[in-house]
Amino acid sequence: MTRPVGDPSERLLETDATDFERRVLEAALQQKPSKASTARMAAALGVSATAIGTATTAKALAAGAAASKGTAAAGASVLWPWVSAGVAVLVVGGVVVGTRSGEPTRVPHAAPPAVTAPKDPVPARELPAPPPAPADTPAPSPAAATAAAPRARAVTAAGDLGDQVALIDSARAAVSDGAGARALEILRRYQERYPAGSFRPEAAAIKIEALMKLGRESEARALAERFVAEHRGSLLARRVAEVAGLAQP
Amino acid sequence: MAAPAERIPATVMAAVAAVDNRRLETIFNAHHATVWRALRRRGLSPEAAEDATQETFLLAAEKLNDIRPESEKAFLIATALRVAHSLGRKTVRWELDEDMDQRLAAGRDAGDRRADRQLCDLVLSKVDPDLVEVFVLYELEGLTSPEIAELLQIPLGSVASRLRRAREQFRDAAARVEKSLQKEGQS
Repeated sequence: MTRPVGDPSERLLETDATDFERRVLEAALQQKPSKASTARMAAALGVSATAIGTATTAKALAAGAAASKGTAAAGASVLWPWVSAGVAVLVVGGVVVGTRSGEPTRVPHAAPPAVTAPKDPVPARELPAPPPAPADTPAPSPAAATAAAPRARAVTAAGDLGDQVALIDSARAAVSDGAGARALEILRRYQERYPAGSFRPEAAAIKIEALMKLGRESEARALAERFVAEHRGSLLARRVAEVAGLAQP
Repeated sequence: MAAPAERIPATVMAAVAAVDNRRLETIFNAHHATVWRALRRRGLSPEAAEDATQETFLLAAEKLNDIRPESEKAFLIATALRVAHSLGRKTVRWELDEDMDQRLAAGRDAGDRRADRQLCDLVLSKVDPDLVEVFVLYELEGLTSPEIAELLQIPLGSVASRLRRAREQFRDAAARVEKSLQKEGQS
């Protein structure tokens, strides 16, 4: 690394750290999010995480392209994971970001357009997400899905994760394509295969959007209300509220 | 300003979205662990750090065209720190439980990553909290002094002096911890 003017000296790790100091410093860099966590973040952003080794990029790109196209044509409709045009103000975690007007604005996994900033932008964020209500989906298979099962963090094998990401991605792409029924079918498979999967909240959110697309609005709203109550303050909850036309959480 | 978004052909928007997505993917893979670490060091739980990392990249996605490639990391960390700030958390660094030293002694054999990390937490916890951030950003995350000055909104001179004092404290602490481990090893 070049050393810009004003830099005090070389970094310890590059120079005269003792073995012990080196060990301590290098350990700090070992701290990383779990693979499941990385996969969830990547999925939410609509990108592919190289660490997990799935080939979701093409799909994400396709979904993005389809969504952009749809939005340009249809105007205000809210699409996943891209929101183009029409977004005037983006509220994320209480930070208000004005978008560059006139430019195509793309916001993966986006926040709702022009909402007022919530009074407490990030309530209960530290609490683990409660399990999504089971009643919203065709009877999930056995044990794993029972009540208290917390969101399965970091317990999933990497191979499973790739599969989970792929399913969620294709469900999302189906919704973006306006294929609500296909999305529901994919989500049903996800639910069956991964009753305690890492992306249950995401799956529930996509399901709500798919139901809206299919015109099953009262069903979608009921699910959305429950979802928002359970995931209050999360980005997903805001998105779900937006999609289902609920008052902002 | 350019024409309203509605008038931009769909194909162009799709292409822009695709290119942006590519870049977002690249910076996500290159820097998400750094961002997540920065948030963890602000006292966020792993889950909260995940959410905040996601928000950080959402904000970055929004400003993708304004981020110079050479300053991606600094931009992301700055954004992450703002997100952490917006969470209204006190800046808690390295909260350690009381029995840290015992657990350390139990699992201190070299090669044990977890023990090494606790070791790291232990040593860094002995550095003045006001100094440790500069130290970590410079020594570990590889930011330059001007980047840190900008990030923390402090003069360049303060970065240098904090870093110097942080290093002294870090090396002292490391030496002390190493010594006490050696002593235990002999007893």
